[in-house]
Amino acid sequence: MATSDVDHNIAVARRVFDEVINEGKLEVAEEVVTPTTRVDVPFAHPGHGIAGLQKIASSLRGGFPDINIEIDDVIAVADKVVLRWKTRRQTHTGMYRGLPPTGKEVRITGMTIFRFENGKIEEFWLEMDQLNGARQMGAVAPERYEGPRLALFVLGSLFRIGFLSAKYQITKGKRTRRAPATGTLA
Amino acid sequence: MSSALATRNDQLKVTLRRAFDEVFVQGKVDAVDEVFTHDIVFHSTARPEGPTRGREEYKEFVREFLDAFTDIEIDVHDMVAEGDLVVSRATIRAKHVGTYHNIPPTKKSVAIFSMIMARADASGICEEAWSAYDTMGLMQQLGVLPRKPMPKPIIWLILKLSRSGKGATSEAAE
Repeated sequence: MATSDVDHNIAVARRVFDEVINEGKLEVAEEVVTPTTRVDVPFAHPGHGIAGLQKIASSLRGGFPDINIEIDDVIAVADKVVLRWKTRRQTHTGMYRGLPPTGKEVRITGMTIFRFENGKIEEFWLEMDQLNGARQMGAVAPERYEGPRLALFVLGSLFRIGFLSAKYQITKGKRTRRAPATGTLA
Repeated sequence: MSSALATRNDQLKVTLRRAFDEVFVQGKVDAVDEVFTHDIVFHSTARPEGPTRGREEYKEFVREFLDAFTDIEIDVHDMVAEGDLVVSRATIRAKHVGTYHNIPPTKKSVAIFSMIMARADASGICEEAWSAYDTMGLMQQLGVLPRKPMPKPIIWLILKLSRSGKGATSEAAE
């Protein structure tokens, strides 16, 4: 495969992070993946194709609106591009996979392998450090906890997360209810 | 691609496969000396506190895994090598028979999704590696983590309680 094709593939792979995830340009997904692209992530089932990539990006951006991913290493050979990355910034201020905003700073690392066909991503595998992310948000107990301390943490987090969920639902309700109300007042 | 480069990339793949086969599948921890440099820096999602530094620390980390899991099989799906870097995507299958990260043996068989990137030195052995394996999925398979962060009935109950409280205050205001 010509060098220019490999360079093109690298540029396309980078757009997934730079534009779709970091900038939230979900429409760019249509330019980098195809309706038949296979999406392989072990921790969620976002579905395949353009919608699959968009779902991953919108889920991350919904939970962490300030998310910013930095690419640390790039490998590109023939039809494959591999990116190793980490989040430079990621604050949990939105609902993320059922977990209400905790306001916690999270840092995760990950790797993605992309397979290309005709200049677009036809398949990709993504792995990221979910468990440590969940620990940083306080959703999973630190590893050193055991016995009564662990039980206490689990019980405490049920209440804490329950409280945050309720708070989130109520403030979200207020926000949506307030909008038409101001119109009536005016 | 020049043939010299191709050979080097093939060698990187061979090194990584040896690390999998000899160290993990056959459990020969001392094979670490042959595939990793003495000052190997090994980053792993299973070690959030930071990478292991040096062979001895890495061997200790490997032993923790080998003591907890048996019947280890590594099914390599893909390998990509370029320059001094090699990446592998694999599924690790194993049976949980010893205490792992405070989790007592469950006798469960697990399949762990994993990716590893390794950087080689001039002689073709690994001097730094990043291992990303699905620790969340592993904990779920071992049954120590729920598959969802929060049971729905509890969210519902707390919502119900907080709403009824809120309803009471707004009625009082009227």
